[in-house]
Amino acid sequence: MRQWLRVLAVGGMIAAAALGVLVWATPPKSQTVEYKSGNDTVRAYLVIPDSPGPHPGIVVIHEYWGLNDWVKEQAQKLADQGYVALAIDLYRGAVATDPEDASELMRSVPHDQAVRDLEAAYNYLAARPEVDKSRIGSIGWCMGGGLSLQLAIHEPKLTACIVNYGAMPTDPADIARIQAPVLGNFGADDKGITPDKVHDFERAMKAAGKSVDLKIYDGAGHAFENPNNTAGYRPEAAADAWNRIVAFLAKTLKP
Amino acid sequence: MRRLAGWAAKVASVCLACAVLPLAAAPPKTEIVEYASGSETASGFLALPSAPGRHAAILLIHGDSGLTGWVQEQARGFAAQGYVALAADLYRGRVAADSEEAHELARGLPDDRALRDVEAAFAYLAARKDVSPGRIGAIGWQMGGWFALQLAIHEPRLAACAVSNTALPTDADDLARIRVPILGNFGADQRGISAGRIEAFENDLRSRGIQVDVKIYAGAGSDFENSADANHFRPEPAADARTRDLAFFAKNLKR
Repeated sequence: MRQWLRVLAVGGMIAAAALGVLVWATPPKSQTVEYKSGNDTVRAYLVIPDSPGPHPGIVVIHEYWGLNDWVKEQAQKLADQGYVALAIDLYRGAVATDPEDASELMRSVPHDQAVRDLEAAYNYLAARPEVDKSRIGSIGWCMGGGLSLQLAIHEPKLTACIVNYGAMPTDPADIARIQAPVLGNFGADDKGITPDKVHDFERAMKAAGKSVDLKIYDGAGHAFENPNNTAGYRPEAAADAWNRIVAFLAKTLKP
Repeated sequence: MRRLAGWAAKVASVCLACAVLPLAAAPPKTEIVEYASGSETASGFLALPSAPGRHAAILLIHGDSGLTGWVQEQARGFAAQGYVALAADLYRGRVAADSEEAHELARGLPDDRALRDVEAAFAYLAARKDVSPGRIGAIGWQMGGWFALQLAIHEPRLAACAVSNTALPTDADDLARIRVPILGNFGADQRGISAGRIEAFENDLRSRGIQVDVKIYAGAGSDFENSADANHFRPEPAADARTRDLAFFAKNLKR
């Protein structure tokens, strides 16, 4: 009888441990949310950390593929780090898997609409009870990287700005408007954003007294952080870029 | 005496033919020109009509691939019709070898620099002695059309604007500043610029008495005019769009 009880007890402990691990490892809650951007109703993918808030928030801005699984995964990873992550959808539901389609979708987005969407996302996060509205940042890749900087230009209250291989402003008047510290990750072999452009931006930001930290990865080209980009993915550079992102966010958005 | 006169007449007519025929068949004179853009130098491909005096002018603005041979051909075509034609080079010397490079170049292009270069190109045309500054139009394809529309919004001296498969502005204040006739050509199969959006743009302009003429081509995508792109080129819609462009500029720019 004692033997049987022992087995039951051990079994019970194992089950409890497994359940504990399961609960602990359960990803933060994610949901699709809706809000207004100008006259449009837009949808976004929101992930809220499980731990008690309020938390800093991050606007997550997709590449030219659209709001796909990879972007949602980045939002999840950011929530794991303790941020409320809002992955926006500039394409109003469209997602591309083919580079041609992706290019077409990218050039179909009017710039004024994109900026409006960014502002709407910022304001949405600022209004959420789980978010500390004094600490909201932005992160983007490729097309989204350029737009992350546009949000920094248009939103003086943005607290952190991360650009991954996105276009940087050249107009000193726009650079003067950036209040958020900027972190950037670029590939040395990127054909559209060459190292001299990165250096130009760094110089201009420093001349304006802004906080800027840009890294150029040798042997990497465009879109090196995305494993789905089989030709361009550079795992070591991607891992290093992610570490820089985590450290930067902790420094700028966590108390 | 009569024989001499007859002989002289024959010689004269041969001479006249030798003089006139080459002129009629000669392609337009072209050159690369440079002009200041902010604190930098920008350049463009200029094609000139053969007749002396002041002419109407067209500013051509390329799409994702850059100032390609096809764009140069369009400039020559306008010059053959009597316009001073300038194709601005927003990529400052780069032309995409393939669609991946086109994407990288497009995504890497700073909007503020592109706009500056477009305005510089316009100012260059307006200052030329062979251009009638009140009769300058702009034509842009895809991304180029967006910049052409920005000229329509911000450059009071622009007289007409034609766009192809272009993202359309949505900002009410910007739209209200458009005071010139607009021509639009769109492929029905292109992704991202919906018929609804095109209609909203048309209605907005028409409500203010602005002339807008849009045509949507069935069976055509977003690259249907590019004769160098075998997959997407649609010869009949392309020829029709071309005819529309020429008629539009003849009506709005020629005396």
